[in-house]
Amino acid sequence: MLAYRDGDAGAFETLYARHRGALYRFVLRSLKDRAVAEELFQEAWIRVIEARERYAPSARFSTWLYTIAHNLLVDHWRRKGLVLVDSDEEPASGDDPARRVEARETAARFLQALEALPPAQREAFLLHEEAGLSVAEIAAATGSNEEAAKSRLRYAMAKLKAAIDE
Amino acid sequence: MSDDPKLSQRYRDLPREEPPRAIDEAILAASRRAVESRPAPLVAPTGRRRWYVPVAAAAVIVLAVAVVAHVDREKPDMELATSPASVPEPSPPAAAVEARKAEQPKPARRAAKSADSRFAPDPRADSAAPAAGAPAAEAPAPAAPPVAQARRERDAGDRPARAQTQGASLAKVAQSPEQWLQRIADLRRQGRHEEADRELAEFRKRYPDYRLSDEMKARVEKPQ
Repeated sequence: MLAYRDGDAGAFETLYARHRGALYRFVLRSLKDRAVAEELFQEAWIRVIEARERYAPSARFSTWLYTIAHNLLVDHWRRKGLVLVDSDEEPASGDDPARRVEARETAARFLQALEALPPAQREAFLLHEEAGLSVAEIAAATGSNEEAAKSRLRYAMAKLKAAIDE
Repeated sequence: MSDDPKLSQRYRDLPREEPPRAIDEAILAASRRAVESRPAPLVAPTGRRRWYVPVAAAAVIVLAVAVVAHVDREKPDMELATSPASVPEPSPPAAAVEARKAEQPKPARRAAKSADSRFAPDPRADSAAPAAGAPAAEAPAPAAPPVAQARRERDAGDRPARAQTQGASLAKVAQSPEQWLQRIADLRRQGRHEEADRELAEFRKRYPDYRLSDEMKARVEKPQ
């Protein structure tokens, strides 16, 4: 990123190739709407390009990238009238017990379980599994503290584990 | 926070969604446009390029110091060259030697050589008249000797002549006969007859065999 900041266009191509898949899946699995996910995905990279001159290596590039993505998601949910609450007790959207029984033996069960997580927990899990962020980095990217990030991640993993063990 | 490998594997088994190619192209094109439109910021580079800045700065400083030092060295030389007072006067003996080298004619070579060896024994005088060396040295200079004795004295006359002209200026002694005559002629022209007479008398003692042309006589001798 520093090389790109200093004018090396090829450095951005390398950076993009390294993070494009994980970021896309993060955004896609956070929104469940492919068109909106593609739009937010592209907007996240445009913001990276426009902010390159202000980039300061105080944290990993991954943390900075997913902070941008998190802020875009929050803005999207705010426009939709939704709020990313800091509660692990929030009922997951689209949680249909009937559907869960039907998809018990397939990989889709896991995906459904993931989609059924509260947004904050789902986001914590995706940042951990897809982006490879630590608890501290998750806290930094989401603008929360480490205890909250750890709690969300723990609850997410417990629920997903319970879903696959059923 | 300990990871659950089974859970991670289950997640990895999900379809690996990738962004569409069109979106890739659009993002990469935007990144290239941004670099082309806005040059790199004027901040110190970091990482591998960090050494460029201090090396470039050091090179500039060294060059500047060298230029200043060169100018300082040149300045005194330039001032010395342009100041008339600082131009050293050539030493009279050196100037006279230079003039002698330039104007020394053949007939006067012997006399010039004698003039040069004012403080040194004239080898010719010593060798030419070994027998008459002692009496010639003892003979009084102002007295008018007999012909033979005069000849001996003439041959060895450089020594008494040398002794007589010891009080003369270095310029006179070092100059050629022609220059001396010219100086006498100048004195005549300037109306300084007493000086001209003195100089002419000394000249005749020094170069008794020197034949003056009619023209030179008219210029150096006192007008009747």
